[in-house]
Amino acid sequence: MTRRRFLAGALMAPALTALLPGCSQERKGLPSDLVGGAVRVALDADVETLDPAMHRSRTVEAVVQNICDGLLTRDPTMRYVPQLATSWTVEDEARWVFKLRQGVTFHNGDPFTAEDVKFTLDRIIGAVPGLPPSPRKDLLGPVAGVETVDPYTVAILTEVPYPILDKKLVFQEIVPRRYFENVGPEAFARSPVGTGPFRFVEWQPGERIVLERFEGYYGGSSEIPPVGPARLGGVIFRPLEEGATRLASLEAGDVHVVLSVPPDQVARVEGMPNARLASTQGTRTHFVGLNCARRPFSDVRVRQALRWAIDPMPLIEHFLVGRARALPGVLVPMSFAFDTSLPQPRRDLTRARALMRRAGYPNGLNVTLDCEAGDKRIAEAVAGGMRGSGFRVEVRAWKRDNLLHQLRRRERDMFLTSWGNASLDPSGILPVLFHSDGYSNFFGYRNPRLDRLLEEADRSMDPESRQEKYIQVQRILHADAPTCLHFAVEELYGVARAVKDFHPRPDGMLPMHDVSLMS
Amino acid sequence: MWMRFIGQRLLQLIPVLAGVSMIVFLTMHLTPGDPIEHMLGQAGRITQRQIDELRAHYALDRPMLVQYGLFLKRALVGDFGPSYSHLGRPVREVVAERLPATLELTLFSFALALALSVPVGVLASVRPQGLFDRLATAGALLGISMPGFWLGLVLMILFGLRLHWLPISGRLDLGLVLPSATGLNSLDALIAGDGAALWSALRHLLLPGLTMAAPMAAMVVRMVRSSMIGVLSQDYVQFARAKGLPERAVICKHALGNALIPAVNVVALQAGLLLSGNMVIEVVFQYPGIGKLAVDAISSADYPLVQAIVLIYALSYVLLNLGADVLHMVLDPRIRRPQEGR
Repeated sequence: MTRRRFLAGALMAPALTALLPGCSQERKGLPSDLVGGAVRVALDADVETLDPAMHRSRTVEAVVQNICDGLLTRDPTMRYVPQLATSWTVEDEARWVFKLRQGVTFHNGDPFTAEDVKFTLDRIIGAVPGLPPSPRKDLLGPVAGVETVDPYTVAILTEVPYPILDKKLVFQEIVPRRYFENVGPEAFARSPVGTGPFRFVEWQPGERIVLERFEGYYGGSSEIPPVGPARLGGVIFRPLEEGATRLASLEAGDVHVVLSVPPDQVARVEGMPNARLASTQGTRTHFVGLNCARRPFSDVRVRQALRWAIDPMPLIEHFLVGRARALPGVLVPMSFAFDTSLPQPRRDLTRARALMRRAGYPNGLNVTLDCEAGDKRIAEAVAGGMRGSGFRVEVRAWKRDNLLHQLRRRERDMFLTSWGNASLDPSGILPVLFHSDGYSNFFGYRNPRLDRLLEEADRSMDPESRQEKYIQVQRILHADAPTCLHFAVEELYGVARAVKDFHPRPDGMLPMHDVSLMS
Repeated sequence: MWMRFIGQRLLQLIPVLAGVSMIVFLTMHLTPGDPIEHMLGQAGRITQRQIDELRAHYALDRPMLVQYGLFLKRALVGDFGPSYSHLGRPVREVVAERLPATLELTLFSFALALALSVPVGVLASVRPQGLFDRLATAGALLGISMPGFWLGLVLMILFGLRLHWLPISGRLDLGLVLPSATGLNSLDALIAGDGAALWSALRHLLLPGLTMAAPMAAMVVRMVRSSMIGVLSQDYVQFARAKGLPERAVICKHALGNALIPAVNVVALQAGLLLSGNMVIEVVFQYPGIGKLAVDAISSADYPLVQAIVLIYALSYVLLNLGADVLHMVLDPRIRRPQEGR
């Protein structure tokens, strides 16, 4: 090649690229029925897989639940209702027998049977050899195995009595055994098949997930009307992690629903002519945790003093524009066994100072409040709110995983963190955080009586007895105060006015079956 | 001669890539954070056994040296193992999904930078210190000095949020469905003959493309300008003018070709920077390429994914440099001759 020819070529290439828009005179886009009738949802996190068994992400679950149904589900008020199961009974405390819905087919035409349920659950508990371990195993607690009784009856066996198995099954979506075995886990994670109201169409990672209405849908739970195929032509999910970008997209009409509206942007959404704000109480509790295993918070009086040192209400009003609720403990009010008798948190500086004096800190105490970088503003407000109480608080922010790493090693004294409990059963949060062996007992908190109560409540098949035990646990925790300043923020959505029947849910799921779109 | 030169350079790649992979491996492992923690998130009733199972499955329970050995063994055959943050999916597949987006953005910015900078550089050199030259020089200075994330945000606010002219994120309007042949949306739209999709793809490329192109264009403008000014004062150019050739022919036919030779190296180096400098831009524009993937992978301690992406960056940077050297040899016989004599 001569130099001149080469140079000519090199100059032509960008020139040709620059000319490309000129070729686009003929507009023949592909806004098919699907795209026209689809609701577009801006997610607050990226989706890394579409395999229901291989994630611990609420976002993935919210997408997957539109493709794959489970044995049970919940309605918008968080009531448990049957979905692919029709009824169930418990035999001998450790054997749950589920009757399955008949005549249901997967999106690929395979019939739904007990074999699929067995395969789905076996895979999660690690009973299918050759597959990578599922990070959702603990969500099935002590499940030991699954038996198919007949094509439409399945028995789930647990090692010990497990009173909340039915509640835990809303987190497991059923996959078709034959299809999964044919395509393998990697292909399934990219193009899943289920029995849900929407069929998977396309996934462009980081960009969009397209689902279309499954015309052969059996209709969903009979207890959540309307029953039948979805109303929408489809759903398009787009991950937009930046809150400002999500809202700009809603404002511009690019998307219909945005998740996680930042509280300081509520007024902006309320002012949009084309959208409205939808909110509901969430299941995540924020709180200040204290290290009970070392000074100064090893002294219960110092922990109690801290509880009286701050009023959560100004914090909620100013920093969360009133979109949160102050709580006496980590449980949210809609949880099973929530203790309504505990007093609402309030500030009492006289009590705080008296407790500090008795604990040997008449001149107050310097402490550091550690938090994630994203919570720094709230942490600073907490520090400011404690002024005059004797606690002089300095805030230190960390990268999320860095802080978690230190908390697991119980290296921090006082920290602002949060914990979600979508199951709304105390067993999903209290033993994890407060049992002496709790995986996330960041507080070094040890109380043999509380351990025993938690273990008994875990195994008891009697709801009343469980309730009574969990109430006792909440009272012990209130007295011992390993945590304080609890508040639960609302789930905030921006929803285009054209979208009808979108109900925000405390658990953050996004079932699109009942939603419709006005043209 | 060519084969030997290229062969030697390719051999040099081996220690470079081995060094890069080791540095990345060590840095990732020394940073606090645990991939299993990320995998399980705020999982509930986890037992130590479940954690141990996951650790064993991903070989995280082995000594660091063994882990590195395993990584090298796999990487040699192009397999980077499973991604920790994309459970159940191999790194190769995850990267392959995002690579076309980055490639498209890089090519677009590259073309945009050249299409803007070469004509501006040439025009600026025709009348040094003239008004256009002063404007171009000032613009180039601005282009070099502005940080990418800042320029990106300014463009986004102005053209996306205020004027509503251009989209601020993504690669294609959500309402469009495009069959994916190459993964490069604009090319796919061309293949499908879909004008609306092509228009949409280019509109989505414009803001991140411009942000990425700015520093490279600025650099090339300065390079072309100074090189052209030098060439235009050469005797053979004066001779061409004396022959009575029109000025356009003198510039385009006689001067430009020679003036561009020194620009080739700059362009190749800048192209390497474009590719590896896309992380910030992709995060700012929420652009689904490997730059954003790398940032996400770093924050979730996804060692294999980070390693794969950094190796891609290193490999492409080294290859682009090699390409520049070869090009230089093609274009400039003075470099070739002494080697031919060996």
